[in-house]
Amino acid sequence: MALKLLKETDPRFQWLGWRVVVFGVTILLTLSGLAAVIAFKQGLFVSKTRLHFLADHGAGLLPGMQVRFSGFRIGVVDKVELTEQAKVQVDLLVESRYMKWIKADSTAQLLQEGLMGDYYIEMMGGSPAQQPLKAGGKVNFAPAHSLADVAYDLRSRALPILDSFQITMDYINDPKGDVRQSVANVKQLTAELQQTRARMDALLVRLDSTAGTVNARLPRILDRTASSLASVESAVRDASAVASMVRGAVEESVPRLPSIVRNSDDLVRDSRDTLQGVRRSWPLNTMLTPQSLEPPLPESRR
Amino acid sequence: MHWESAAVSWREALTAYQAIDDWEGQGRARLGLADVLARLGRKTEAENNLFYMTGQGAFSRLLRARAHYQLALLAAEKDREQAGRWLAEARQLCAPDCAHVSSFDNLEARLSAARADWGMVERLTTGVLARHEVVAAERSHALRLLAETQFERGELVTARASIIQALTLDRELAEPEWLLEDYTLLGRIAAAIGDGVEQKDAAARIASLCRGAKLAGCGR
Repeated sequence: MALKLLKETDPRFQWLGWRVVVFGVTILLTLSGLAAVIAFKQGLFVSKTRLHFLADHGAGLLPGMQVRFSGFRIGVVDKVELTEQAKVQVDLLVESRYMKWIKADSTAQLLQEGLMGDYYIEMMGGSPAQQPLKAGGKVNFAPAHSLADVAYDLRSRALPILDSFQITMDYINDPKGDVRQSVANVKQLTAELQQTRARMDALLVRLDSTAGTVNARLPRILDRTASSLASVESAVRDASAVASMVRGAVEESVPRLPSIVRNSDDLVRDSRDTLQGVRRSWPLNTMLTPQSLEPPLPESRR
Repeated sequence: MHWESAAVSWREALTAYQAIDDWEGQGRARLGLADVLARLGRKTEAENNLFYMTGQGAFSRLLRARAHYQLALLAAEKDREQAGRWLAEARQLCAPDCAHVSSFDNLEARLSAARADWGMVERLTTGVLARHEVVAAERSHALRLLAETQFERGELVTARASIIQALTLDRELAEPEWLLEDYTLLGRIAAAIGDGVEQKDAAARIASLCRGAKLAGCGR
């Protein structure tokens, strides 16, 4: 009774049924248009070609995933299912206009956007000389390396290096090891070289005094032989010969044998260890060239 | 005294190499020791060291070739035929790419000169002089032998030129004995030419050398 009274008297409720119908239709049309636009944007009205590939594992492969080529979206994953051979078959829908880039040797790779982003299929490769793949064709598949895979790979590569480094450091730091002994031998060699240098200096001082004596005697020789220029020249040559002879005597007085050989007692005791250690120890094995103990060939005139 | 010290060092090296079973090192040490012993006049000891090497197959062919050569040098004065045999074996062991061929040729030329086989001496010494890599000592020896050959054949001018070249090298090498040999030959050539000044000069130099060094040839 009351509603009937309102309907009849309030002008705002006139044609109320029609108004509801028109509003509902408008909303419906708007939603349909929006859905059509979205569907168009999603490529529902674009001609597509179906391709597929087989994967060993289905992790990360989901229907609706994007298929990309050079970073651009060219299709979607339509279906992911397990085959009778326990493989994962993945069907792709690739927009037909992009099929010219998908060749028989193209590879589909499962990639991830950033470290935590979505997975997508990236189509790669494809020789220009190859024909585009036909509908229903099969592409190769390369699974993605997850962070765990990369970490495992890195670990498997790094561990032997770290172990080797540790062993090497232990070997080097061993006070009784070859390297320490080699370094001690090199130090000893250096000390002996310094001694030899000191002896050489002393001998050179003697050589200087000898040369001084020669120089002191030279004017008298020149006086005696001043009568001819040729004689003077000969005297100078003789002085040179004397100096050369003294030099030769000095050189001969220095032991020619390597000190490591002269210290034969130590060498005999540690020879094998030392030689093997030096041979194995980098960088000593590249720095220390073996000293040749080559005896001079006697002249045929001796 | 220096040679005594060198002999001690070579003996120590030999002992050390024997202790580590290094036969190449032993061989080199024996060769060096034999050379020093020969310079000290202990030729029998030197020969014993070298004899051991000739009969021991553990030494390389090259080391054994050098041992034969040094034996030939030791025998060159007293037994030339034996020296020739040692030298022939040295050549055989050192072949085919022998680095010591100039020394071998000069020694053979020296043995040939003792037999007055001047044709052989000329062939060998000119071969040595034609090589580029010959050390100064061997070059001067070849020149001295060639000068002697030319002198014996009466080619006095070329003989004088050859011995002057040898003298130039030997002055640099400063070996008194070699200088004495050179000046002795120069004196003989000068006498044959009739150059009294040069002969007198050579005699003066020989006297000087003999005063400065105790040489075996000075008493001759």
